[in-house]
Amino acid sequence: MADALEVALAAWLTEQEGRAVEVRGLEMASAGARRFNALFDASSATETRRLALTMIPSVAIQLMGVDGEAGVRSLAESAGVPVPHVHHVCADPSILGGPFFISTAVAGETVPRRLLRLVQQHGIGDRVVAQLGNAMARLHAIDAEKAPAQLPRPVIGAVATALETVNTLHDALLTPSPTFSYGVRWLERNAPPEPGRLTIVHSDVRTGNIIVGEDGLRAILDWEGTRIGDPTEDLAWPCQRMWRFREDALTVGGMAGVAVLRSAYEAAGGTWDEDRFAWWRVMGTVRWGMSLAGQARAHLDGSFPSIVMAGSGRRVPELEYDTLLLLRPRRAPGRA
Amino acid sequence: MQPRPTAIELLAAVASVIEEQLVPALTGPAQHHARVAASLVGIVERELRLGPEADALERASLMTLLESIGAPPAGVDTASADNASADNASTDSLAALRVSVAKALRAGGADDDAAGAVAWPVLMDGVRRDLAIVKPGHDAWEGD
Repeated sequence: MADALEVALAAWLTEQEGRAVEVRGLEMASAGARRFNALFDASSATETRRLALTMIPSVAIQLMGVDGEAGVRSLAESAGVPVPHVHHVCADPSILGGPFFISTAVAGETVPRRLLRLVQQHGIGDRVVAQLGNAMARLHAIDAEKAPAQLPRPVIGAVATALETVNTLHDALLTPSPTFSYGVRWLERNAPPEPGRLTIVHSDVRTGNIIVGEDGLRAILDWEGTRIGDPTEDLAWPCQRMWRFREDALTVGGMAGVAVLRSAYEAAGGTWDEDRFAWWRVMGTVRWGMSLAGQARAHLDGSFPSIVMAGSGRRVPELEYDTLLLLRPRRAPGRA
Repeated sequence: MQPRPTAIELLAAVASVIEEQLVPALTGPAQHHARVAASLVGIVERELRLGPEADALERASLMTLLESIGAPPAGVDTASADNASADNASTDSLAALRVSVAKALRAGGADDDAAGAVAWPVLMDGVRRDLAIVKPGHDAWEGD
């Protein structure tokens, strides 16, 4: 398969760039249900570039078209957010078997445990988290009107949409969860007002979706879930316990405390609202826990049979526990 | 009665084959799936050992909680046990009890601070018992 893909890529790049391009050393970086990532060398007469191919194997399950994803990446890049530069976009599925885009392959570590080891060895946890805060402030400063039209926009408000989502997930649970019922009720009663300003929200900035080198943050990856929403959601998500990979005391992605994220975000012009931040942390935990239950349902009803999806059902108590930690009653709401 | 090995002993043997022989021999998605399989076998093994007591404790604590946050609904009483085998009835009644508690909490049964202070430790104890089966050690961290 790699050979055929190399030939097809070389022919397409040669045509696009108007010069002879050879493709060598294609290696799979990751393959999920929704996307396929591979790295390769593209050589012309004058240079050899290490490039990354991102292909969507099935148009039916893509979250956002490649045009939209490439567009938002370029917009973020122009605002100073570290993103792998996009060189080419192709929405035609007939070239490689699915829509794709080609970007610069950024060297560094992405695998969470190895990434955290690198961060510890070089003592750069505060630096990486501050760079994430800075990058998110830059992303959120972009005028949302300039975002590609493909980005989903909340029709009834960002907070209201999230509440609607957890309600739907809650009502679909195969196994009732008193903890999530308690959590959904808390979210409803403590919901912040809709944000004064809607922004581009990456929605999955976290350890596992970033590239880090010994000099710090090099790139933010995986922009397929980008949408218009409440910017505070982006700040809360990397603080989920599951993104700390056992470094539980370092709230932001197992790398540094929240204060580091906050001061970098504010220094770069972002507005931090502590109650809103606390609410989105609970929202992210409850919503993800119930989504795991939804994965088990997809296995059981036959729509997506997979042992991984089956196993997700038994990960639910982890998220129930994390939810209860955030809702410990001796703390006042909003200070969880 | 089945001869030994017991179900628990068989699952331990299955887990060690997956972990020690299959996982190292596989690559890519198949290796990942084998790791998940080994972990699920471990969960089933712990569920067989710890599940019955955990269910009994959960049933008792949810029953008490339901009294303080909302009226016990019809169908959760022990009368329904007469019509089914003891095992099914106890599982069914626990599931029905969970539905009732979940509904009461969703409807605001623990909104005020006093009720919340009663409900939270009950929920926490139940989740800790579930974690002892699915992810021992996850509750060692108690920060936020």
